[in-house]
Amino acid sequence: MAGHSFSSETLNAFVDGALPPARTADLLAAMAHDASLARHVAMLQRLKTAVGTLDDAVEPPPLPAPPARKPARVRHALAVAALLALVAGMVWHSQPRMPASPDTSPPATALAAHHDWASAPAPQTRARMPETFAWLTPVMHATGLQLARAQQGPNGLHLGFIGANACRLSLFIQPHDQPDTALDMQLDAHLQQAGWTTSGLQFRIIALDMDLSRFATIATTAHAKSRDHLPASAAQIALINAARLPCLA
Amino acid sequence: MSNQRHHSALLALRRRLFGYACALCPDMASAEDLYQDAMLRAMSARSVPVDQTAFRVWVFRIMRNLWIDRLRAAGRLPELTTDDDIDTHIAINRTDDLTVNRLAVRQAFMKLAKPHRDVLALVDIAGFSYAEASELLNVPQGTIMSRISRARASLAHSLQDNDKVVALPLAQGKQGFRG
Repeated sequence: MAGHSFSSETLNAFVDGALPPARTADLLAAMAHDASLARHVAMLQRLKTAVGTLDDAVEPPPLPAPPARKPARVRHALAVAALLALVAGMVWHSQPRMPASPDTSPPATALAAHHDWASAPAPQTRARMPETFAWLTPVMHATGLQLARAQQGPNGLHLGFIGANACRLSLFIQPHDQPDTALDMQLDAHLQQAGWTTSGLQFRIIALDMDLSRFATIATTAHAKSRDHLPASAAQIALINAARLPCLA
Repeated sequence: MSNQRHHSALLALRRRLFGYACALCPDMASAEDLYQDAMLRAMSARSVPVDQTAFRVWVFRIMRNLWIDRLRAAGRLPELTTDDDIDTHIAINRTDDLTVNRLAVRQAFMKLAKPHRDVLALVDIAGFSYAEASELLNVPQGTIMSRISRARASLAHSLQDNDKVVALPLAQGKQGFRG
């Protein structure tokens, strides 16, 4: 990172989207040639994401009843209170309280499916990304992993990605009727898992022996894109690129 | 703003407001109390900003003022120190490769100085821009930038020192490989 002229304030402003366009372009250009700088920015992004999702899984308590108003407004206030109580009650009952740490661990079947696929010889042909998940394409392209499998199975749609250096990553997507949950990652030196639900879909990512920083970067970006479906920004692409490392297996 | 719009706007902000309360308070019970008090105060207000951004700043300011009142009542207001009291020489060069888990981040976050927790919560949890946070805290944007920078440096430093964090130095010799 030596040699660059970006202050800590500037790097944080970039992560927060508060940097002017010209300065953003300068920084992106510098990151493209300075892996250390890119990793530092990626670390700041991870911290921001981690803080931003600290309490995602915690359900706020119901709204309090509004305070009583003057007599002339009592009926109106009561109506508002009733409405609020009704809305709060509907929200409360329609959204079962999420556990503080929702269990997004993949079922054994998903793990087995990943193991089976990962241990099979690499296919010679590439699979086609389903149109519904086209937003994933630029993200995964930046990872250097290529889509080798897109197949429905007992765990939903199984997207299998392979890299040039033994990396295999599975993304399972299936319909889900529970409320949205935050990104939950379990990182082990051998097995890496991430899961979340959003917009009625459950996403599970599984990889073996992948560099943990790389896996975390892929998971956080895929998580973000699954929620906004917006094209990945140049900064996000740069971060994923900077995190590319070979798998150990 | 009509009552209905007022309450709808409050409902829309409830998650972020509660997240902010959780960030400010040391435990969930205190956070729930602060959240309830702030919502009650906001719901009973007779004059409410019409502009959406101004409304957001107004609601969060209510919560923050209530929090400051509680700190003052507990004799802990001095903890809401100025930047002069906060270590500004935190080295974070060795933390670039941190991978963190939620529990560790929460623990490290709660160890931050209150002004750092405050500004990180406003920007990262509540989603305020620097300009909005500047207005809410009544400080220049430059101060927001430096506080954010110091807060994240402090958070990274704390995570690095936390044994419970999975700290993942990229293996020597790996750098430069691709694929």
